Amino acid sequence: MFKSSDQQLIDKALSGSERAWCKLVRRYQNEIYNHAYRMTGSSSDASDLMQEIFLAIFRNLPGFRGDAKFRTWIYRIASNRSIDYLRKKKPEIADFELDSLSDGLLLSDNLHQWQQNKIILNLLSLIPDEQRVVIELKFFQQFTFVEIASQLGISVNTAKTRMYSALDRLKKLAGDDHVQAACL
Amino acid sequence: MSKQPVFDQISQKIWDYLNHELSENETIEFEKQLQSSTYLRQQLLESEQILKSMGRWENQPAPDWDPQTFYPRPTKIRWTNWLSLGMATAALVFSLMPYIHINELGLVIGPPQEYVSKVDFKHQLEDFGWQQSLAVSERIDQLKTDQSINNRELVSSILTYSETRRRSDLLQMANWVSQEKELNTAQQRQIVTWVQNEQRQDNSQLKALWTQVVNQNNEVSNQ
Repeated sequence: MFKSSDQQLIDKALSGSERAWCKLVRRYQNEIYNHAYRMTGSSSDASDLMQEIFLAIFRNLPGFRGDAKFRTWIYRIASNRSIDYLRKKKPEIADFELDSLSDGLLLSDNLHQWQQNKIILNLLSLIPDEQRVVIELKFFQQFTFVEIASQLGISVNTAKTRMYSALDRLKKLAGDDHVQAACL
Repeated sequence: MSKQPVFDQISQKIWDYLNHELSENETIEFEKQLQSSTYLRQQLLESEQILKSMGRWENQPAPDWDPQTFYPRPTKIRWTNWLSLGMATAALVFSLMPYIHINELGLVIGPPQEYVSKVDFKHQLEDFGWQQSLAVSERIDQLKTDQSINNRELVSSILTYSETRRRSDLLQMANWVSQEKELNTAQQRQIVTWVQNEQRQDNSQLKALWTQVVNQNNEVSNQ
């Protein structure tokens, strides 16, 4: 079946096609939702954040010139929105709502997946937001350091420093007994 | 001083190696070091565990939501928009036509006004100047008159005040002199009285003494 390119869908959406806009959203909503989930650690916050991200994408869509890939452009917005969201919601974010994972996974009897995601969310909750977003973009979205630096408005060295600091921190924390216990 | 956290060089090398960020030569060099260092192998293993943990994330489906309903439709500005903008501008200009004039001064925007030529305007300006200078000179005369009246009133009040004060002072002086005079007269009377009294006493004493002397002389002569 013929699949429209991002640019075609964008053009149609800008011409007023709601259908094209919905297709565009459906194409990226799962990965944006999971990005938001890993950033916030809560399914309800992830849902809110995902909608905020798509709202920002929607408002900025007329400004998308196609200089960068649409996915890169989306994640630039998503990363910045995530950091803003976490700053606003900081007191509530302190404790990741890991129980909410059960909503989607335990019902499907996939306990192993639930445990894996719980471990990852626990680990991510232990590092600062600025480092978490770099980990997110590097490991989960597979962006290069140059792309990450451009998306976050920082230097490549800063992006590297943040990621390696985060990984070092995670490595040390993973060795701690109480963190292991919290992860498992 | 850099605010960025300083982290271990070995650790950075390990992460670069795991992320395939090292060059070919650096990779070969690092792998040689790995073979010779137990510590490095242990560190690499732990770092790999972290990355593996990250890689085990299972994507979850996004919850159902309707992207159609929550925001209005984005639109590009089309040629029809430009047309409507042009028509609106033309309508605005048309409605403002009575307020736009072109004369010797150029383009003038404002409510309709009677046209005044440059010569007439010059005459009007001169008349206005004369009227202004006349009004100013009248005003100056008025101020001078007012000032003169004020000065006269001021001098008059000063003089009046001085005369009254002077009279009061003289009267006070006359009273004082009169009182002093009465006081002196009374004192002089007392002194005269005292002197007279003293003289009377002295006279009576002299008389007594004289009598005594006479008596003594008589006694002596009798003897």
